[in-house]
Amino acid sequence: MDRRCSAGGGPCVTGGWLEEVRSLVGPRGVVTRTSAVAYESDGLTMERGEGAAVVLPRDTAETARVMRVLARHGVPIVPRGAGTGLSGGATPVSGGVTIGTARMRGVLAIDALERTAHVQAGVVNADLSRATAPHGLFYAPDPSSQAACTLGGNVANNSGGPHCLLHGNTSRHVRGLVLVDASGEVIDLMPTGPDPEGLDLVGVTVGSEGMFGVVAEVLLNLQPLPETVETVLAVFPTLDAACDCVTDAIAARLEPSAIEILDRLTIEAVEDSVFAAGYPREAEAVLLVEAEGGAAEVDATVADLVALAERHGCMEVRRAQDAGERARLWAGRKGAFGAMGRVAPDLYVADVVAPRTRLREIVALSTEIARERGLKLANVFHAGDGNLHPNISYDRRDEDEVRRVLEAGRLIMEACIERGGSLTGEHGVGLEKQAHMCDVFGDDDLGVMHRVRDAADPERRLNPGKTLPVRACREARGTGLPTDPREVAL
Amino acid sequence: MSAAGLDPHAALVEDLRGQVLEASAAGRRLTPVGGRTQLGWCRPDHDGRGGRGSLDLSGLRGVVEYEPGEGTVTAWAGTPWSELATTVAVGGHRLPADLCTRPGSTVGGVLASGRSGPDRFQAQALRHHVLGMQVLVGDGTVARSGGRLVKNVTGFDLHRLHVGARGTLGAILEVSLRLRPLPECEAVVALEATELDAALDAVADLVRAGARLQWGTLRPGASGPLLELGLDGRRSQVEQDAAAAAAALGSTATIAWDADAAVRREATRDMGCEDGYAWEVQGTRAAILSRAAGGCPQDSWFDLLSGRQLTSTRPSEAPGLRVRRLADAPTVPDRRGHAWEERIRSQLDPAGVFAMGSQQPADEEVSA
Repeated sequence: MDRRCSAGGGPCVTGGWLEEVRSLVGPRGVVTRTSAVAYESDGLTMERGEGAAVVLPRDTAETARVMRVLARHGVPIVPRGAGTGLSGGATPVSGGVTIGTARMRGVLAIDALERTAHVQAGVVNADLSRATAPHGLFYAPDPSSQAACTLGGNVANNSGGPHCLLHGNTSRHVRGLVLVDASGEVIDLMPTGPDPEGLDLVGVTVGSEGMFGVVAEVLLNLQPLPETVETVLAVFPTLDAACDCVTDAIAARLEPSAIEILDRLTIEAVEDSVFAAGYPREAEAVLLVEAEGGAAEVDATVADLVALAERHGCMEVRRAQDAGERARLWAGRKGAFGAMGRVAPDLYVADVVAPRTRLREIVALSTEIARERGLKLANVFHAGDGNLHPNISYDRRDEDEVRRVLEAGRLIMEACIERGGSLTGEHGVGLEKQAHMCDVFGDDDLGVMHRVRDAADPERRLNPGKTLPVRACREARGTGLPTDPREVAL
Repeated sequence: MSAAGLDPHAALVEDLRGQVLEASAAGRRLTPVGGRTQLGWCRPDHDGRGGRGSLDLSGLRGVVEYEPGEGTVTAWAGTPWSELATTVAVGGHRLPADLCTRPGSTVGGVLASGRSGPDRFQAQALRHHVLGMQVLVGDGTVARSGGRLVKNVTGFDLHRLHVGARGTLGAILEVSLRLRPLPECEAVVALEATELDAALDAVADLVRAGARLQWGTLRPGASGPLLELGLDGRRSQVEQDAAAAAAALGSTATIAWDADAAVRREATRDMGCEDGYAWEVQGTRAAILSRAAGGCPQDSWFDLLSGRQLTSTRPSEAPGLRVRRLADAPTVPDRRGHAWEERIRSQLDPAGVFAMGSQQPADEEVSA
């Protein structure tokens, strides 16, 4: 019989099916007690869980064999990449097995004419661009965690990143998948042409947060390395002015590859950290803007952006003079979350999307919501696509502060949705925003999502308890129990 | 169910819902129709059982929201594609795909057909630019997925299932799309390719070198195969890139600019309308370039950079290529993912209201 260890605090690796799994993946493919602590949460550290085991298969066939064993025993499965997700999508579930892709790191093929890369799901995002650079190609989606996060995890979350302003989220870059479903069947969804043969199963799998299967292999689109990249730092006297500049740039249909905003608190944290990028401390906000492409179009775009910035009172424009300076400017941006560690021991990173025409209003509102609760809110976000990341520093040992942080996070989310925004732009729903799905979708919408999930995983063993509310929304809203049996089953 | 008191669109949706529920109860099948321009194999009134009707969405038209500052548009599915293109052009935008449509083709119909234009090489397929949708599924449920903003990962992207499903999974009611800016400048580099092999090698080299091309097609010209490459964007950049592409194709290549370029683009794009052909070939870029190198017959059209050929003559099979008779339903039982797909269909449409009927004869006039 399966059983859990009663002491030691970590997952126990005994029991019939675990021995069977161990015989499939070898001793290094099952993570035991002490080291499994690292798997207790993902980047949403507020949510922790303890599963029965962590299993690390080496390839698609091994994943399928493991999942067939787990199917026979009815064991829940939590797919996991690097665990950098910020919504609790990879939090273990009790009695379940976390299937990690840490040993699936092969870049299987790169094709310069097709502009594609065929990879195993555990390849680290940044490693792919390093592998494709000799072919003159790069992989565009670049989450801030790209040095650690995996491409399989990116697929599960439809991850974004600064340069998704021009290139689009992960979804736009996924050409094909090999998926292992809950029963252990390998579903080969690699393309045979530019259009899907039937329903777009690849498209619907991207962003499904591990609820349709374990993504084992991915065929990704690559982009030509740009001939020219120009990185500009525009310094603003107010956060409002920086926001308005972005709103106007979008309205003017300019197409830079990234527009990021960092506010004063973020700048201070970055400049006090190892990620110091030379951001001006006197600024209330900076825009970090990048344009890429041919030299002529980059020049034209940057000239238009600088003119706009100046109209909005920009105090200074710095252009990166070389690749080293560009890398420094981006290291500050991508290290911003890490730098916040200097401000407080814990960080709550919110992820909402504002209509780009209402950036200033929603950013100001977020700041006010935090201020009213005595919290420090720093803004560092993908302004070009309206994707806000209000960061609230806190100490998890302070229960009242945790309560206020969660309250502020909820109010910011609600304010954004009320003004036409989205619940999540790139971090996903996971555990964090599951209840808030009812703020965006109705019972019928969620009912259809449940049904599509059931089509993929009738036993609901893949990532159970995540993403979709488990009760009908009307119940969650306290307006009475549903009478439709299908809703009861939600 | 009474539709009194509802706004006209809501009343129409309620009426459509009623039709679906009725069909479900009566065991009848329905095909959603918009402009009736591209149904092909899934024609209403013929399902081999004599019971297929149409669900007419053409009345469900109009722009729900076009906010130029957001770069997005939301429209009812029965809105003509061309009407929507005109609406967003006023704000300096173009629709996310430049594809062949017939007069009256609707937004919902275009999406249901799953078509993309040759510009998908640069812009990516149309399905990638659908931000959200409202659909009516087979049990009468009206459901939304996605949203209206350019960035959103809330919930499953169920709209992806309906793009290209040809109405066999439900009826698209309302759609939100990401828009692209209208370009400052447009150019078409053209070559009457007397040495087809060399010309197509040059195209492959341009792709490998990262050339900023929007599209590339091969079609029969007045005196041999006509190779055309499209570029657009900032004028100063397009001028340089078009000159470089022309140089790569050889001294006889010509460049058309702006209005002249648009005429050429529309001419080759409109040869991509499926109803002029009997067969479609899809495959890798390499496989399609290789197929094209074998010649461009009078009855063929190649979307070289996307990897697609249309032809009237039955094409030979070859590795890396997928050959399909256009009149056939694209679903085949042995296709990968088919069992999963069938489970999705039975979940969303248990009575099979939108399920496919039998195939139509290839030579029958289509009237979508």
